[in-house]
Amino acid sequence: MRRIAAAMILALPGVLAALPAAADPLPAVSDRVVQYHIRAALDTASRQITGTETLTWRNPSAADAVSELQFHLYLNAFKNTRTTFMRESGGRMRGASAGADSWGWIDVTSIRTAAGADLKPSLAFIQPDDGNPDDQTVARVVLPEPVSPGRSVTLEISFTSQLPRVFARTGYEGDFYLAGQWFPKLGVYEPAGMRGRAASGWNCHQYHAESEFYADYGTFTVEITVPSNFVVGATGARTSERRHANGTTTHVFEQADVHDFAWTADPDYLVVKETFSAERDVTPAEYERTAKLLGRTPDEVRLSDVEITVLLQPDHRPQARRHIEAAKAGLKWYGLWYGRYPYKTLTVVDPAPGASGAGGMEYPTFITAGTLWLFNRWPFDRIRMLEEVTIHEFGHQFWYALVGNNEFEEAWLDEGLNTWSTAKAMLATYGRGRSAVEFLGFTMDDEEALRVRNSPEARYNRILAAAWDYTPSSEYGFYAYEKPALALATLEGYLGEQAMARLMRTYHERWRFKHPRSEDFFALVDEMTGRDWSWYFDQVVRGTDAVDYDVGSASSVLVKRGRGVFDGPGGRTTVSAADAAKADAEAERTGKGVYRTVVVVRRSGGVRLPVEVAFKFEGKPVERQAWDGRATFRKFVFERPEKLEWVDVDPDRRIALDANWLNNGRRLRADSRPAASWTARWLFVIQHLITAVGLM
Amino acid sequence: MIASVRAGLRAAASQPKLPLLVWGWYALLALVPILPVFSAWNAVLGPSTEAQKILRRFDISVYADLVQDSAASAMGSPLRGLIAALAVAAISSAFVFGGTVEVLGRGGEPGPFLQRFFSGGGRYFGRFLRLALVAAASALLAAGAVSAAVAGALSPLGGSEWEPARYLAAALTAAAALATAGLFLLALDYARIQVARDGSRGMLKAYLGGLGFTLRNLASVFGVAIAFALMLAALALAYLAYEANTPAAGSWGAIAALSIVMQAIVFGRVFLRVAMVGAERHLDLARRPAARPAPAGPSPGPTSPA
Ligand SMILES: [Zn+2]
Repeated sequence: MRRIAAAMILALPGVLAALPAAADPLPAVSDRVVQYHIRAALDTASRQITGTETLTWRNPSAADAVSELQFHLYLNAFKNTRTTFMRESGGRMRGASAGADSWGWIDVTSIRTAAGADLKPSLAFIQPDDGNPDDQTVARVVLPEPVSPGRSVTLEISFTSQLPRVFARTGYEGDFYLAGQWFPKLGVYEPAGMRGRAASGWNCHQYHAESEFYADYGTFTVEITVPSNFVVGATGARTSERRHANGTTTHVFEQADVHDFAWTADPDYLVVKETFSAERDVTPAEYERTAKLLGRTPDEVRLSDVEITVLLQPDHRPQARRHIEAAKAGLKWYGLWYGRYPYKTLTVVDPAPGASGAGGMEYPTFITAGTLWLFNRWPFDRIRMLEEVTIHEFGHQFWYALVGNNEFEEAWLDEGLNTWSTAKAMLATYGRGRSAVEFLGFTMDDEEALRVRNSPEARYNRILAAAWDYTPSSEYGFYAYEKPALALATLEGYLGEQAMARLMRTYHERWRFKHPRSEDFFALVDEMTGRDWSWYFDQVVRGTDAVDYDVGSASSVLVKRGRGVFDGPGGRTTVSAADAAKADAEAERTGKGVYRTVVVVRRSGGVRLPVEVAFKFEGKPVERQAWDGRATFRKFVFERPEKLEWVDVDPDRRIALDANWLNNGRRLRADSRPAASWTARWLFVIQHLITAVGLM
Repeated sequence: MIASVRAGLRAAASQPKLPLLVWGWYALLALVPILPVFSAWNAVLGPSTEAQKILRRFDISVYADLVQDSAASAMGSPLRGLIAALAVAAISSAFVFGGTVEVLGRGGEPGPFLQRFFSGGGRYFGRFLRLALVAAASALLAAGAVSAAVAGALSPLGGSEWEPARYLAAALTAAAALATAGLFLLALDYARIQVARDGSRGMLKAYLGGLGFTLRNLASVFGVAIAFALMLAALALAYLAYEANTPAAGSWGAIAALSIVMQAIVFGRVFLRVAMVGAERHLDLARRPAARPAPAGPSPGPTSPA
């Protein structure tokens, strides 16, 4: 329904509020397609992990017999300069660079079925994305006999993983280790129909520079053996610990209903533990407000206790509390809004100095943040980078770990939803206008920050693209994170807070432990609103254009007295030029008369969205008119006794996607204070530059 | 050293027109790049309803919109104006210094202030400009060499597990470079003061003379410089305290108050620099009492050969 009337859209919040809330309970467990039991030992001298992996995979399809398995061997991305990851990244990621001659790789030394059949001879590297023969990040093996629908196969795998010096997520730095994507990990077998697939097959992408991950849910039991002086943290809960005579200790971690496993080891970690209490850390009023917002009972929105472990660099001790508070804020707000965090543990890792490439990353129940010693004390202690990154990576527990979209193909579904959620949680925790930064009088919040990179020129990529297809690749950040967040904020502008909250809650509940795609999100919006929103998503998520509404011109002038001969009911009158001029002068003096107001509102961006236009006439309350926003402009003409003070397109700034808000409104009497205020400061800065040179 | 600092401050205070003139000149120069910016910004912000937000507090998203706004950016690049203004400031620094030493040197003598300033500025302009080039080149070379050497020596600190060591290494490197550059620039000050006092003509020799003086009196020279640097830091802190407590200047009154505070700070900075030159003159007189006095009579003009 593309031609939906603007008035109907604008009236939607009311309609939606009247809809009954859906009552989907949270699923208790995942489909558990895979079971991993890994025994891994870290050799700190060679920086290698040797491991054995007992892997059971259940064929989730109803119809296909599957005769091959596909694995990710991600560490091979760091094997040489010719891999797809290195070619795309040039050996640089988020400001960190690959160390010279510090390569990473993973060798599968043996792979057999439980019955003893050797699969190694059939192991072959494949490059489904780009055909790059130097890329060994995906391998396939052929099974001796196909796995029937619903049946399982168990493999015994031995592998050696050489860790690189960390620059992109995984590796070592000094005696800090972050093992992510470190073991042979199965891709996702997608039966026909799943995520809109026409034919059944494996979804197993190569490791790209700008791309994250996709895997199936299951259970993990991982035994990690490291020197006994190392502190170890990992996905899941530590179930046992065995000390060995040779100076090593084996730490056993277990977790069900996750799709990845990462761990860290460092002898220097400061361990900070605290329990998130569903009782003490959320007030009754917050439960009540959330229940009301979502149309649920307080019991349905009740959270559960979670053990938080922060593995902190000793130099960051003064920031321990901030890490804990941020983790709690994430557990609270995401839990209240989308559904309780189902796991018992959450581990937050603060990477070692020099290992910032390992920071800011999400793994199930295990996240990496990152901060600097500088932020320990005033005045830098309210630059909330660590809070932001902690809440964001925690947020991925909901958008990535629990709702497992394909990060390769539709990064926006987790990054975008999560960026939007992060901003909301930051504002809820640290306050509007200052959530991101409070520094010597300068403040900034996370919603403002979202708009910074949007511009009328941001119109060459689309949100819905494979992560490695954004061009240039630096655009990944805007199109996978900020633009989707602005698109969601705009959607919320149309739906209203309550309907949006219910939508996101339902999306999360319905897709927890599953693999949705964008269409599923779009369909749910249609379903919950009872309307077709393809006009919106086609333009904003599938399309490239920018949104920009502005005021082209606005004038409001006294209508001059007519001159000449006029026929009226009382007969013919003649108005002389002198009389008219006198009357006009009188009207000018008193301000009394009829004003002709002409306003031209324009759509300068390619995206067509319905908008409201607000008019403020002198001495009158603000009046609003709807415009479907489809034509390139609309002219409004008024003849009335009041002069126009200002006009404003989208006066409530509900269209967060609008690339320029400065041109949305026009005051008829200009105000020089904003420019004077900013110019005074710039003058000061320039004077300092000039005097610095001129007083040499 | 303390006596020199005191004498410098007294000298500057007794010639208030001098810092006022220098402040005014550079304020005028700063207006060259800023006026087009004001008019471009005012054209966009003036009629904008959204811009009213920034009267309450600085909003980064409004700023981003402004920077990306085609109407605002079409008014030309303020950068070109700024570079031109900086170039003029760099050249005029030689004139300003000449005027300053002349006024400070003949403070007690009769005659109109402006005439003294301009005759001093003109008399030494060519020589001081050449001196500045020599000093800038040597300061740059020396600071580069020293910072490279220090960074090399401290490179183990940069990889330290103790995170503050990384900042320490960076800070020490910066401090070494700054101190080196400072040394060569202070030598420039003394070279100019000595040229004004002795009337020397060979600028390379004069610069070496200044450098020699600086090295022979290293403690006092740096003592004077550090004393003024501390006063400048106090001024900066006072400003930051004011700024932190007045995040947005929304009303005309607040904008005026902020502007007055800012201009007072810039004036303070100019005043301290003038006082520092006064202190340096005092130090030079104290340490080289037997030096030849400056020749009296009309100035040879700014284009005299080296
Ligand atoms: Zn993310």
